[in-house]
Amino acid sequence: MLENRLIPHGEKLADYAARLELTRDDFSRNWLNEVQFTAAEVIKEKGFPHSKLESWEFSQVRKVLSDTYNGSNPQVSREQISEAMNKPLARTGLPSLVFVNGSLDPEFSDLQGLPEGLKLIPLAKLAQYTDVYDWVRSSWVAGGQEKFFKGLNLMLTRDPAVLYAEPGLKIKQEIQILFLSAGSTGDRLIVNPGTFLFAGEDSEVSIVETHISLDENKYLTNAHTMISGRKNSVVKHVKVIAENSQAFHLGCIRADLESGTSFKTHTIVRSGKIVRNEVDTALNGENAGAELYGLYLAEDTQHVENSTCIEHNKPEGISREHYKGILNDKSRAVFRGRIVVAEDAQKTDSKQNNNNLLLSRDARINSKPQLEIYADDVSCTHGATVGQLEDEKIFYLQSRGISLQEANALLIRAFGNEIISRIDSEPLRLVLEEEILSAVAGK
Amino acid sequence: MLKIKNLHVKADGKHILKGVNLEVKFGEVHSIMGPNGSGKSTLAQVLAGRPGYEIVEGEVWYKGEDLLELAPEERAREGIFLAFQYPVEIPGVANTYFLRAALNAQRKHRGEREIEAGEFLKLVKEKAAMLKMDTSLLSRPVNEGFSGGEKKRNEIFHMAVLEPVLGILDETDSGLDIDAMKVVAEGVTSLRSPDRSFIVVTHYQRLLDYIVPDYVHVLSEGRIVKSGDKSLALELEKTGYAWANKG
Repeated sequence: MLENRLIPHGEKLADYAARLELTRDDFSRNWLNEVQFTAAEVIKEKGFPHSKLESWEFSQVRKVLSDTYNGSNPQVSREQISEAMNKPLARTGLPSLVFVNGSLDPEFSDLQGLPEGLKLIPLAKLAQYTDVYDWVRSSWVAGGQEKFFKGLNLMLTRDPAVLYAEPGLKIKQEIQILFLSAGSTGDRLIVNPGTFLFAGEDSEVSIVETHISLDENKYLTNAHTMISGRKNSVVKHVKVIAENSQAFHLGCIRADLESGTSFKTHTIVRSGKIVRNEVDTALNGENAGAELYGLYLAEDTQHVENSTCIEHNKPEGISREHYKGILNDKSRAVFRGRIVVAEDAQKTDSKQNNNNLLLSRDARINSKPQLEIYADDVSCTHGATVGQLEDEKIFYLQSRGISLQEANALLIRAFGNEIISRIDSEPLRLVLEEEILSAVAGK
Repeated sequence: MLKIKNLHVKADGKHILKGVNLEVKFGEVHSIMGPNGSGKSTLAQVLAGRPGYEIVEGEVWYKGEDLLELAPEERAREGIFLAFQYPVEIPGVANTYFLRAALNAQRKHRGEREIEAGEFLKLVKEKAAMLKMDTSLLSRPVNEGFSGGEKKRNEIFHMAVLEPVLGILDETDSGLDIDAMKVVAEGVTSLRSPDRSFIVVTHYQRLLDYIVPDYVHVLSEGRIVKSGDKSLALELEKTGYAWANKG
């Protein structure tokens, strides 16, 4: 049966790719199959990660590729789900859609609580919404930095969250998508969540996708998020990655913005053994604005990579990018920020910044800005810093009676808060401030 | 209240304080004047407990306790306050948030209850008004984007809120125009009380027209070479410090 052949069964990804002997005929049932066929081609021929892959550190790719994977679904109890939903990061109080190992759980999801004007479209009904359907079909297999894993996601996603914000509607209520995953102690499970957000012309919408573990076992979250910002829409997106200490998280976010759109996205990395998140934003119309923010926390021997690409394809676009990292113990982080300004994109105004706080001698950060500017009337600045907590600031706080420990905590919180404070959703901001900054500042 | 006995301090291997002796009683205002490089700031900072200084010899007794044994925050909680010569900017930490944390740390140490939000707000507004300080500066991050004068005034504002026992002003007047200096000086003067003492470190005499000291000491090459009352400051203005470097 096709379905069975498509899922890895206790094999390394290289072996899985090699055995995907599939023909066009296998994928003839529906449009989704077509997408999957394209994905299969990508997996087999175009994208297998190799040592010369610039876009991420090969040592980490090797770790991911050397495991054996299984695509089956684990047994998860109702109690486990309840417990996970009670974790601080999940308890925002926002109306939530709950996915367990990539499948929507109707019982725990607040389907009635979705705000007016925001629709959750099951894949089977997608064809009824022409704009969204066309977009998903054409964009799903579009480029992206990491082809192999994206191809894998296309192949294996069964139940993506397809959200449609009706044109003209300003939806103020934020919604939360909780991706809860359980792993296994044997082969590493692979979970392929999908989030597709289509913001119609003149609409306003705000979502947060939060990835949390149901247990302490091994799994790989191979997540794909796609966002379409139609003319003059306002889109706010936050992604929170809080996987367990054995889990891998590979995420890819792609946003295409038409003219006049305003897009703001945050990537908050709280935990996970190996985390790599890409954010690709294309400003495809005039006067579009994109803000990319990130805060990544790494400790022990965690490895966190953030790789972004902002394409200014039309004139008068504005982009602001600010990623900050707090690293401890022997952790390692990589920040790669690519900005491409097309020849046509005059009067582009772009600023990029990456600041890192190292709390230990052994933590390491690799920061690489990459500017490719083909237009001649632009303003593009970038900067990166690496440092420790400043003695002068610590002494100043102590001189007012604040203990050394509290002074450190205050300064670390202040550092991270610069990113979190830019999240507009108050409930989400409070939850993040509390959980993330307390965790780091407690050391 | 404060007894400094034969204090010798080194920094980066350099011998800066070479036997300082000073006694300050409750309620007194002492001014430390002297040429640049004499060690005035060093003295102020060593009293506050700034790391990076080596105490080679000597003792400092504060309210009967060995001050040099205490960490900077412990000294602050015991009532020592240093108004920095170069106040530090702390982006991301609101002025009031930080002050409230400081005040509560000190109250907790004294066995008092923490101050409530409403009470605290009232207190800071009162002190800000007294110092003619723009209240918008209260919620801004500490010293971020503040002008030199605003930073110095912020130091006195902190002092007013924390109500220390010993206030040490490290060249508070440097970089201030006459009007800003007057406001700052008025603030300090309004805090004078029989239970509170001040050490005012300054290069120029003019501040002392407004914060009138009980005693003036001249620090030169790491030692106090002359002491007197406020008239000594006026003398120094006429003669300068050259004489002090001799011998």
